[in-house]
Amino acid sequence: MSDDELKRAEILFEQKRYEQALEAYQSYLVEHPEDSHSLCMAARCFLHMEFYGRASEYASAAISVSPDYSYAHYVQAYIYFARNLDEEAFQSLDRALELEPTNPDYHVLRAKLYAHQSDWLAVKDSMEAILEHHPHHPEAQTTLAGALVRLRRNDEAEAYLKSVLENDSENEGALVELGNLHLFQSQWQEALDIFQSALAVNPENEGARTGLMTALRAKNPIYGLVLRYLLWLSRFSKKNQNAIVYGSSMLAKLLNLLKQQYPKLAPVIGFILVLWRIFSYLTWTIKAGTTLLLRCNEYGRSLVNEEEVMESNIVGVLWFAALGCWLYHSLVDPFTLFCKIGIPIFLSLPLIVGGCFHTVSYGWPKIVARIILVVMTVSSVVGLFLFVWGFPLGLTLLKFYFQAFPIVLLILSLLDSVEPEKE
Amino acid sequence: MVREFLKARRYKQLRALAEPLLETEERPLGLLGMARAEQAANRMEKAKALYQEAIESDSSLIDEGLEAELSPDDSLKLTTGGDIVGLTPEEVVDKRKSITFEDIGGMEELKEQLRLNIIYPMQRPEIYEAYGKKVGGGILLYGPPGCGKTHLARAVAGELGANFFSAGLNDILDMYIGNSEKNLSDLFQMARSKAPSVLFIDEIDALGAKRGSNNSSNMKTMTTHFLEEMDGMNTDNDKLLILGATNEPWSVDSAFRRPGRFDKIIFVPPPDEAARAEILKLHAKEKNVDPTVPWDSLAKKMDHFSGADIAQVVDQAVERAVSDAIRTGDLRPVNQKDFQIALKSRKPTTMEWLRRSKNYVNFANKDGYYDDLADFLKKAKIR
Repeated sequence: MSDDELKRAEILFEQKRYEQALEAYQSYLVEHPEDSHSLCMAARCFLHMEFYGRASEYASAAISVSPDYSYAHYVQAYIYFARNLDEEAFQSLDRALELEPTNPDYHVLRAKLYAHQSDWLAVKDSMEAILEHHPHHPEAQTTLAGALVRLRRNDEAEAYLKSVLENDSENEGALVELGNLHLFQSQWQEALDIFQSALAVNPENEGARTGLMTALRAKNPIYGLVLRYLLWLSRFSKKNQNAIVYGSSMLAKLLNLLKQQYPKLAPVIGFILVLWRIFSYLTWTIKAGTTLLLRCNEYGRSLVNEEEVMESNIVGVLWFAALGCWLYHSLVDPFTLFCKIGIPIFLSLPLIVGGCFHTVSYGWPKIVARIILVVMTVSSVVGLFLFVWGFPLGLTLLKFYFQAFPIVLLILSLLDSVEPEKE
Repeated sequence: MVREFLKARRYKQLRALAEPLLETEERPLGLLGMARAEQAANRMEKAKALYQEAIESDSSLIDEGLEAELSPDDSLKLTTGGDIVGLTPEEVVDKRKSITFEDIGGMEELKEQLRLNIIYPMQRPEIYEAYGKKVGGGILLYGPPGCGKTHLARAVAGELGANFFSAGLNDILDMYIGNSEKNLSDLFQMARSKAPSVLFIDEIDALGAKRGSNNSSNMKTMTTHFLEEMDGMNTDNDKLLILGATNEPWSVDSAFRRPGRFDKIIFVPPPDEAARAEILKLHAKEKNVDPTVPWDSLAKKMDHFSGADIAQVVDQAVERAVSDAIRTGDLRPVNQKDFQIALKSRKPTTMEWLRRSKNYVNFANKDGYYDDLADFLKKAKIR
C-alpha cells in the first residue's frame, strides 16, 4: 500500500497537482520518515505552492537524513535560488556538484544563478559545456540562447534559436528568447509576431506577455526611443545601471553650473538640459502612459495585468489633473494659486508612481514603495488644498513634498534593484 | 467535542480531536471521527476500514451520509488489483438514485445547451441521422472547480434514463498504479453492456494530459488505450455517451478533441443566481436554520461563488451558531446574520480560474473552443 502511495504521489507530481501530491508524499512519510527522496519531493511541492520556508525545512530534513544525497542539496539550492538567496544557493549547489559532477540539471541551475547576477559569459560557457554531452537538454538550450541574446551575439543567437525551433517548433522558452532577440535589435514587428506565437503555445507565459506588451508599446516612437535606451542600459549589471543613472544626473548638474558660468552657452546647454529632463521624465512614466494607450483597444486590454491597470489609472488621473490646471491657468485665470502649484505637483507625482510600481511586486520593498507613494500623494494633494484654503499646515506639507521629492526618487531607484528574500 | 465537529462538518480538523479518543473508552467515536477525516482527505480505503471498525464496535454510530460518500450507490469504483469491486451492474441499475434537470435550479442556458448537444441526439437519433449528423461520441464539460460538473453529468444520465457510471481522479490513478489497462477496458465494457449509459470521467486531464516529453511511458500507454476505447475500435460505442470533465481543458491532449472523441466542449460556469439559491437551500437542509432566511437576497450577493464556496458559507454560518450554542447553551437556529457574516469573510474561489482562463480565450482560441467561455467572461466583465 505504501509503495502505491508513493507511486500515486509521483503521478500527481508529474501531473502538476502539487497539493494532492504533497498530501500523498506526506502520507508516505508518516510510515517512512527517513525517505530522503520523498522529503525532497515534498519540498518541491511546497516550492511550487510558494511556501518557501516549508520547502527549505523539508530539503534540510532530507539533507540531515542523507548528507551524501546530491539531489537533496540540489533541491535545497533550487529553493534558495527561488528565494533570492544566491550565496546559499551556490553553496548548496557546490555540494551537489561535488557529489554528482556530471548531472546536467545541476549545471543548468548554476547557469541560472549566474544569469541572476547578469554574468552572461559564465552562463554561456557552462551551458555550452553541458550541451556538448546533452545536446537536447531543453532548459540548457533556452538558458544558452538567453545568454547569447544578452551578450548581443545576435547572429549566433538567431542561428542557435532557429535550430532549436526546427526540432521543436513549440518550444516556448526558445520562442520568448527569439522575441527578445528581435526586441534587442529594435525589430518591433518581428518581436510582436514571435511573442504572439509563444502565447499561442502557452497563454500563461509571463515572459511572452510582457514581451508582447513591450513590442506593442515600442510601436509608439517615443516609447521606442526610451526602450532603445533601456535595452542599452540592460547590458549592464544593476549596480552599473544605477551608476550610469546617477552619473547622468551629476552631468546635468555640471551642465547647469556651466550654463551659469558661461552665459553665451546658456541657450545650447539649456536646450540640452530640457531634452535631458524630458527624457528622464519619460523613462519613469512612459510605461504607464503607453499602457493607457494600449487599453484603448481590446487586444491591448487583454494583455495588461491588474498592477499595470492601477499604475496607468493613477498616472492618467494625475496627467488629466495637470492638463485641467494648465487649461484653466492659460484660458481662464492665470492667477489661480491652485493651478500654479497644482501643475508641478500633478506632473511630478507620476514619477513617484512609476518608481513605486517598478519595484519588485512582493516583500518589504513593495510595502515601502507603497507607503512612500501614499505619504507623498497625501502631503502634496492635501497640502495643496489646505494651502489654497489658507491653512498654514498646507505650506508645511507642500515644503515637505518638494524637499523630499529628490530623496524619494533616489530611494525608489535604489529599491528598484532590491530583491528581498522570499519567506 | 468530536460530536460537535461531526455535526458542524468540520471534518478536516477532526483528526486532532479524534486521535486521542482511540486509546480511551470512546474509541468507536474516535474511529468515526478519523474515518470522516480520512474521507475528507479523499483516502477512501482508510476511511472505509476505520468506519467499519467504528460501527462494528458501536452500531449507534452508523452515519448514512458517510456511507454514501464511501460507497456511492450510483458510481463505480475500481481497485488497484484490476478487478471491479463494489456494486455489480445490476445493482447499479437497481439502486441508482436518478436526478434530472428539474433537480438543478437555474442554469437554464446551460441546460438548453446540454439538451441540444446531448439529450435530443440520444433521444431522437433518427432526426439527426436524417441530416447526416453522427450521434454519440464524447462531450467535454469544463469550468472552474466546484461548479457542479459531476452533478450535471448525473442529471444528464437521469434525463436520458440511462445508467450512470463514473470514474474520478483516484480511479484513474489506481489504473496507472495497477498498470492495468484491463481496468479501463472493464469500465467501458460494463458501460456498454448496460447501454444506454453515460460514462462520466472526472478530471479527464489526468488521463489525457498533453503528451509531452515529461509524461511517463505508463501514462502515455494509458492515454493511447483510452483513446482506442473511445474510438470503439474493437467494439461498438453506440448508445454510450462519454462525458469528460476537467478544470483545465487546455491541458487535455489535442488527440482527445478529434472527431468522434470529445469533439464538443461545453463550458459549465459558476452557478447563476437561481442555482445559488437552490444550492444554499440544499446545504442548509436539516441544519436548524431560521426559516425566514432570505435565500434569494443572499444568493444575489454571491456572484461567481462556486457550489463548493456556497457550501463553505453555509458551513461557516453553522459554525458560528454552534460556537454560540457551546458558549451560551442556547441551541438557537442559524440566522440571517450568521450567513451575512460568513459571506463577508469569503471571496469566490472561481475568480482565479476565470482570470487565468482569460489568457486562453485571448491567445489560444483560434478554433473557437472557448467561445462560450469568452462570452461569459465578457458578460461578467472579468479582467
